[in-house]
Amino acid sequence: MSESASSPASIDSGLVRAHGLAALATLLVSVFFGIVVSLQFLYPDLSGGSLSLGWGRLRYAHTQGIMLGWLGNAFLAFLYHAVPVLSGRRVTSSTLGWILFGLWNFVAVVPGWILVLAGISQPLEWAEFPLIIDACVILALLLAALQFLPGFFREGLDSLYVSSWYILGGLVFTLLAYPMGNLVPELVSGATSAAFGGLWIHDAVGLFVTPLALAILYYVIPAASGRPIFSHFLSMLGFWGLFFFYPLNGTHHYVFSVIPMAAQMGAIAASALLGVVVVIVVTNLLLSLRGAGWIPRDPALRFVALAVVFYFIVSMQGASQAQMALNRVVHFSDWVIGHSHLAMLGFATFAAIGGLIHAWQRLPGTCCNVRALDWSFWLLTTGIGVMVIDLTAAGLVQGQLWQESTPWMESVRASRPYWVLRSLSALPITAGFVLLGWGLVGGKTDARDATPGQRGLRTTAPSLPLASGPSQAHSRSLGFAYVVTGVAGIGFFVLSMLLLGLWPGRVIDQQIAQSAPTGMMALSSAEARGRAIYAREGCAYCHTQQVRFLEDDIRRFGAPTLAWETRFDSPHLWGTRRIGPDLARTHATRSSDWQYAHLYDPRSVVADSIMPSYAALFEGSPLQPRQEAQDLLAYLESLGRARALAWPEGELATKHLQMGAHMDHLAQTATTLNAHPAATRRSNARPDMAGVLAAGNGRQLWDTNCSSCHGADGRGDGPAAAWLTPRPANLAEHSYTRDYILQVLWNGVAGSSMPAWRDHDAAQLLALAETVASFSVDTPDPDSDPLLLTQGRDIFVDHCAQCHGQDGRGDGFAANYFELAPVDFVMQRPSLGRALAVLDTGIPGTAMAPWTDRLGSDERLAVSLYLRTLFRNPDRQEDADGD
Amino acid sequence: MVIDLIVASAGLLFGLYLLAWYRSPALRERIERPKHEFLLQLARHEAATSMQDEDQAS
Repeated sequence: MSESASSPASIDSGLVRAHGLAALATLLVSVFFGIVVSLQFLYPDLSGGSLSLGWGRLRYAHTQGIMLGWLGNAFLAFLYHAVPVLSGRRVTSSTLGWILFGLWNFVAVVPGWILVLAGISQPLEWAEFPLIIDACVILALLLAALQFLPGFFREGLDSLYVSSWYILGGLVFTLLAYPMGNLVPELVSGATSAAFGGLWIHDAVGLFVTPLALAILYYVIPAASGRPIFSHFLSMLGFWGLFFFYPLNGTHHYVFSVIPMAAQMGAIAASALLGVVVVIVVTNLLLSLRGAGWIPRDPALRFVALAVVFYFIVSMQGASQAQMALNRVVHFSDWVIGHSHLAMLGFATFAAIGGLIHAWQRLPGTCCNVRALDWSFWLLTTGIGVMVIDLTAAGLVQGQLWQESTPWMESVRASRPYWVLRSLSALPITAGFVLLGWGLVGGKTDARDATPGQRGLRTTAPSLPLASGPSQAHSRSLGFAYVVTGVAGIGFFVLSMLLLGLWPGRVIDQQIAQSAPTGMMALSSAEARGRAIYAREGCAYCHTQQVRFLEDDIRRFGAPTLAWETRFDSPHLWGTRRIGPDLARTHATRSSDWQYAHLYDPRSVVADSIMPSYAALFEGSPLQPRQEAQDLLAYLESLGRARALAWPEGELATKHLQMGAHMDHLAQTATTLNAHPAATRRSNARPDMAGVLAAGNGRQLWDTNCSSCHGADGRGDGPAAAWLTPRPANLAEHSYTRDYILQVLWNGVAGSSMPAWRDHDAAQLLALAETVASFSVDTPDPDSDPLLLTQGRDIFVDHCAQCHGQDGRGDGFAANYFELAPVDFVMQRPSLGRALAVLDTGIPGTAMAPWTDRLGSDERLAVSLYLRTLFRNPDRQEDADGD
Repeated sequence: MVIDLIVASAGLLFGLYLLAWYRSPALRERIERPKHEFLLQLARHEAATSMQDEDQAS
């Protein structure tokens, strides 16, 4: 550090003020985005069907706004204050500063928001701004390096204070990592793309946010307390430890995936080691805070002190959740959202606020309102504390429910109270941020009027406690060591790319070469367009596309995702969050009608769904999908299709893979490719439910799961009924055997929108069967004219038996040619009115045609009466005895 | 497991190396010097700022 005086004029107050105000403005906008995103969990139609204000796009804008808008500007404001003090020299150029300010805010952040909300983005976490904005950010980072770093190199490296090192490291490593995280995943595909994406998810926090936040902590603590930090040695040990281990953490975002297990294990080990390094850093910082009191009086120091505590908690949390035992439970859940908020809104934001207040208080002529800052601290602490605890608890509940065999929607319903509390936590957080702004710009007291003691500063220069000056040899060796360590740090970053990016990519390519089916088709044009819509709307932020190599995942979704399945996925859409279920096995799971109805009005077919409506993709009705909706559906239907075509013969190829014994075992022994509980099967098989007592909540289950299509009273008139072809059955005008109802509940009705409900247990299915049976108002016919019945039988044999079978069991020789199986009249009996209506009009969407052109009204009556006599209900004596 | 051992061993060796290095008092003093210099620089900066404020006020 230079001994030359650093005059106050060397700090460019205008740039501190400009970036500070920009930080506050972008913070409030980003928080607004976050609040709307949060409320959409409770009110999914809040955006009124607008795609621009839809959940996915706002989520993109929220995270990028927090990282680049709020934290980026706050860090820059602090750098304009700190770098002249640390280096003893002005920053490179005031003009350059204003160019950087304009570039950062008016070429990167604001246009980035506009583009993302307009649907131009990339589906990569913490990299959602499109590539053109990425180019601007990289240019801005280069300018920032040019602006702030030259001063540090004018003195020997051995003289640099730890904050200077963190500023150096943060800017240099972000320049290395940003292109890697934003560009490389676009150039590679599938698992390799995910591997690089995972690196950036961690590098964004570990190489950009954390170093600059720690630079603030190490600056503000001694500056505000008037005492040096506890140990510069420990601080440097922590500095190099963080830069060595942070880049090696990335793959822990994809534990249990097809990314080579060695890379996963390396990342898990690095995560644990990083936890050890953080203990060193935090211990040093807490010891540096000794004497400042539990709740420091200085507003900046107060925020910074709590940032240290948040840093410790979030780091221990991160090291723990990377471990497999915890990861298998909490990954994809709200636990991770709580973790990321603790990192960005807790640790990083509190550090940034501390740095901002510290710099702001020292601007000439600036008024600060200390009382407002105090209130801001307590409101933010309360709000963030509530949010993080709430989301952590929600994650544990979700993880537990996912490990059980409960229906997916149970986890959504169980999460609702937590989501309500999360939204409520936005009140103190927003109030805290508003008061922070007021505290900085709306104060009545000029901070410059405060005594230096009140600002925690000395006005007399402390003497150096050095008994003797360091030898030149030591300075040289220390400088040399720092250079070597710096090169090693960059080496570790390169190592992370090699070990966790390129090497896994090579292994994955080998796996694909060994196991991919020959002639695997890429996406069609429509599917590729649909994929772009899926990416644009942020679908991957709620739905993963990776069935992990975990028994729980396999039981719920099906066979684990192999590397070749996503080989054309560039950039990857694996996702790291499951608000809705995994979509890797969507192919042939639902009917097109159901999918359109679900996209148009999700709650019309899933009563408690929180998915946003994508009605904007339709011309006013699910029956009129626009090209975009058709493309999106084409893409959804392609998910898992290649594997389905290869199954089961293609699975033999996986026996040559060497993913690790346990992974190989799981890959080869999955009995079902698509275990989605709603996937229909053309089968009469169902589990034996003898001895099982029906649950008592049949009506509740009906209202929750069935009424949206079949209507509240089972008359086939639910909100979605008009959009489904064939229409949902009117249960009132049919009689069913209990066995038939259970078969349908277990297998669904293939060829229709009636899904299976295999995620419900036997007691629930029995309760639902009782409810379904209770809707019927059909009764057996009084004794009919035997001649009429004979005539009806003859007509049936001549005209109906080809499909419905001689005995009316739906097993005619043509039956297997139809997507929807012909009705089995032995197990279900339509009312006479229904039977006549069907013969009059046919059943749209099925092979059942009208018979008015071939049968007269008497003949239609005769065959209707006859087919009703075929019904045999063992649960009713009069039916079991026959007519 | 092998990677775990390699990483753990490397970490341990690195730590031992640094601890041994730190045992040299003169070198330790040199390593710790920036934290004192930083405070000195801060105080000088603050003093200069205060003086400038007073000049402007008078």
